[in-house]
Amino acid sequence: MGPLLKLKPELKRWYTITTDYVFGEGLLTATKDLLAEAGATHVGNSYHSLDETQFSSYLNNARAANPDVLLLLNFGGQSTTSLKQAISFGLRDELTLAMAVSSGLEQLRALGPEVLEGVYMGGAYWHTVDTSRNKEFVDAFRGEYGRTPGTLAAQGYEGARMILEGVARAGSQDPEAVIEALEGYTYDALTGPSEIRADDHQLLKDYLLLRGKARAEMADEDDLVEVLSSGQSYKSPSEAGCDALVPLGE
Amino acid sequence: MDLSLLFAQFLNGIVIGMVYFLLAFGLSLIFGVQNFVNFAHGSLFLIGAYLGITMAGRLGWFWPAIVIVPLLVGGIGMAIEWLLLRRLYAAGHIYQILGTYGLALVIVETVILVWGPFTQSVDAPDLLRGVFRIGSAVVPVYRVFVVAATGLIGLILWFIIQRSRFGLQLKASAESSEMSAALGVNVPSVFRRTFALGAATAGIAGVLAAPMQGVTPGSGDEIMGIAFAVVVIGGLTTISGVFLASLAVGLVQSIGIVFWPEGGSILVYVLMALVLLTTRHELASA
Amino acid sequence: MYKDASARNESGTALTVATKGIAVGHLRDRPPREQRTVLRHLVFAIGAVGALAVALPPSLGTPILVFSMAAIGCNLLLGTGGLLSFGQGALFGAGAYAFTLATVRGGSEPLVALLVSVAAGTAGGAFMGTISSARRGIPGVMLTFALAQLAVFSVYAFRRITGGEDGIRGVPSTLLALGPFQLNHALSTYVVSALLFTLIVVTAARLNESPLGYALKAVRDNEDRVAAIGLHVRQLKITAFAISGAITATAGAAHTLYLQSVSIDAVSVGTGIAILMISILGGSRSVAGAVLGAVVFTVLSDRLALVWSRWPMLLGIALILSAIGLRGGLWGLITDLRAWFRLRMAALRHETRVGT
Repeated sequence: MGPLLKLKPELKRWYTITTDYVFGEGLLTATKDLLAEAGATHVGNSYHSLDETQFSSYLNNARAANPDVLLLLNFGGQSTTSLKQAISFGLRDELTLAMAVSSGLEQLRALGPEVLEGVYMGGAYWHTVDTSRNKEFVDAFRGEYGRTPGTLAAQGYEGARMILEGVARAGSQDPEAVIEALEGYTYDALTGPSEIRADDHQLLKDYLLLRGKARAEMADEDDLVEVLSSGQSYKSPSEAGCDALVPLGE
Repeated sequence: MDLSLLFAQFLNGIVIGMVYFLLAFGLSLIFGVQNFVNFAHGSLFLIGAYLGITMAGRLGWFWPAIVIVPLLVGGIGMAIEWLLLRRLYAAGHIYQILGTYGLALVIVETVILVWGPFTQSVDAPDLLRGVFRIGSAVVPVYRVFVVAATGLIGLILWFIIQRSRFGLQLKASAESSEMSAALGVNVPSVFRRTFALGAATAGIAGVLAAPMQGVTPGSGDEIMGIAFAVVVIGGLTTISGVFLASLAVGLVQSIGIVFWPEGGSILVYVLMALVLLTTRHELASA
Repeated sequence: MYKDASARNESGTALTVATKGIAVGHLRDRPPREQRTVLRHLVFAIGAVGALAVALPPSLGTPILVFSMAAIGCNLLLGTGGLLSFGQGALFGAGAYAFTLATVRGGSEPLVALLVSVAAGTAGGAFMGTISSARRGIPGVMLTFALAQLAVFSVYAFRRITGGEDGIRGVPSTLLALGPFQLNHALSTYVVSALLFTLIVVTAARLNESPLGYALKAVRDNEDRVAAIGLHVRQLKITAFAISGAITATAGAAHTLYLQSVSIDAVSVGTGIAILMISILGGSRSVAGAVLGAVVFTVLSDRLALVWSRWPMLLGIALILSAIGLRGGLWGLITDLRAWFRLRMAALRHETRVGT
């Protein structure tokens, strides 16, 4: 959400709704840090469980805190549901709505422009990203399947390509050798230059800030959002709290 | 304490209380009349919600769904009663619970097969979009509609139970099924229609709830736990008892969240346990 | 509920033995039948542990032992005492969380942590028994349901202690050495679970034939009669819940030792219902039934889940069937078939003799 803070510095008071488990907690900590850095205030947070479907109470709590921004730190079906409920409570007219993690075209299509209009979202991929590789990919995908690729398609494509590249570099299919060959690998991803950090195998790639368009602004039915900015902000391994690679199960 | 927040949560509590009422009504009806513990009641709600999502969402038929889905779920309920449940009436409560829990598993898995495992939601119809502002509080128009619709349904149910011939037969069968049968009431048929009525109200609860919240295959189990609490707290005798208990549970949950965010549900179950412990409960005589 | 002749008969015997047991103190003249039970079940437990070790990898064997123990705890309430409890998940969770907190936060040795778990389970069971036995019939069952829900929401609400939806990780693994052989985590856990399992099988079987066991069976069959002959029904129920709590918590602790972590799943109502289903599926009136149920449930959920992710539907169907007809569960089915087969054989022999 860093880019949104830079884009609209007048948004000072932020309220968050967070899934109560590691992923949500991680997002919340990162958000608090960013807000503190930018001099904005975190005015409150509501936790909800992984199987919550009824968000009205949290939305009332959020409204009562009188924030400029309501930021949803949940994902998948829960972000869909909570965003819809926020819209149905008329919160879009009162404050800025933002969703930290949108899961791509399929989810946004299900939400539709009536819900998405004016909502800010983070996203890993969007088909209008302006790189030459992405244009090739989108054209090829549309030619093959007759539809627009979403995040899952893009990630599948990138993942497979990365493994192939690793096998080619290592000259073998031995997993250990492939891992080693890919450490520090830099390449042109669909969203721009990316790198696999050698220390902790974190993939450093661009993350997008999106904003929902109104139906009237849409060029075609998949043109749901505009890409406002794209960039990287990753913690170093030690900041992120994982100093060494610990294989699972040991 | 912020009064406007309390007021907003108060309104919210009333709305969720309404859905609890529709669900708890059927549960207490089936228990009261047939002396039957139905652990599959939440899955009837689930079927209603998913049918509602399909009809209102994919086909855009929200208004027809309000009528058709309860009829469908009522029909499903009738079929279930005829195929399975009537074989469990004499079996005692433990086996009723086991059998209907098994049934609930089968229904939930079928729902996953048909609709998939993920959260689904549906928009309220265009006519019911937007919000009312009451003081500083906002209430979506759709939620006001749910309160009004539930009120109307409650009246219809009251009429069916208190004023119709079927209601009379139903109460007579609940009092003594042997005596009613001797007087010419077709008791098995009354039971079947009672079950269908309970199923249909669970179905309409599902249709009405779907646009307010997301629905997952686990939603049925979750809401049924609360409905059991409502039935225990409200007792079995009157519609108004169940109605008041539903509102009370909705309000406790909703306002509880203001003071203790994680504790809303704890309060409901503490209340349930206290009622069980402190009253000579009607459930005991059943 | 159990209106067939054999059950009524059993209830008669149960009452007589119960009264006799109370009358002579603690059955000083213990009939050899009980010693045979202990011996038979010891052989059964060792056989089961050995067979599982040979037939299945420890990654399946350990959960089977864990759920067998939990189902035995459930059988004591359901099969012996006729008490339906939705709170078995809470008791399982009590053991699991107590073990985790003792080892991770308290730094205890595994053995001490196990004792803490058993204590927590006993206390939790006694509490649940005290509350739920205040009301008979469905209200009592509903009370266990309310307590089970309370346990789940409490784990969630007190996340600073319990880790909330994340649970707690980092339970140290207990590595055993058999002579010169150092066992790995999987094998060590299997051995520990096997020891606990054997202990519990024998204890439960012995308990079933103790005065307490007979008194509980009498409560199951006719509560009023038990009260009428002067036994304290509520005390009996509370004792049953406390013992069930101890057994179930032991299972929870073993499960934690195996997973090296605990999550909110351990305490969930769903876990409690899974335990109930295992118990009913196998047959709630015998120890062998509990083990059979655990084997079927675990193997199905492991193997069938690979091929058909909607496998719980089969469980549902099995539950419906057992509610309608197969009240004795799988083990009951086996004993019925055996009895039928014997009768048939006898009839055949008779026919042959008449024929010649």
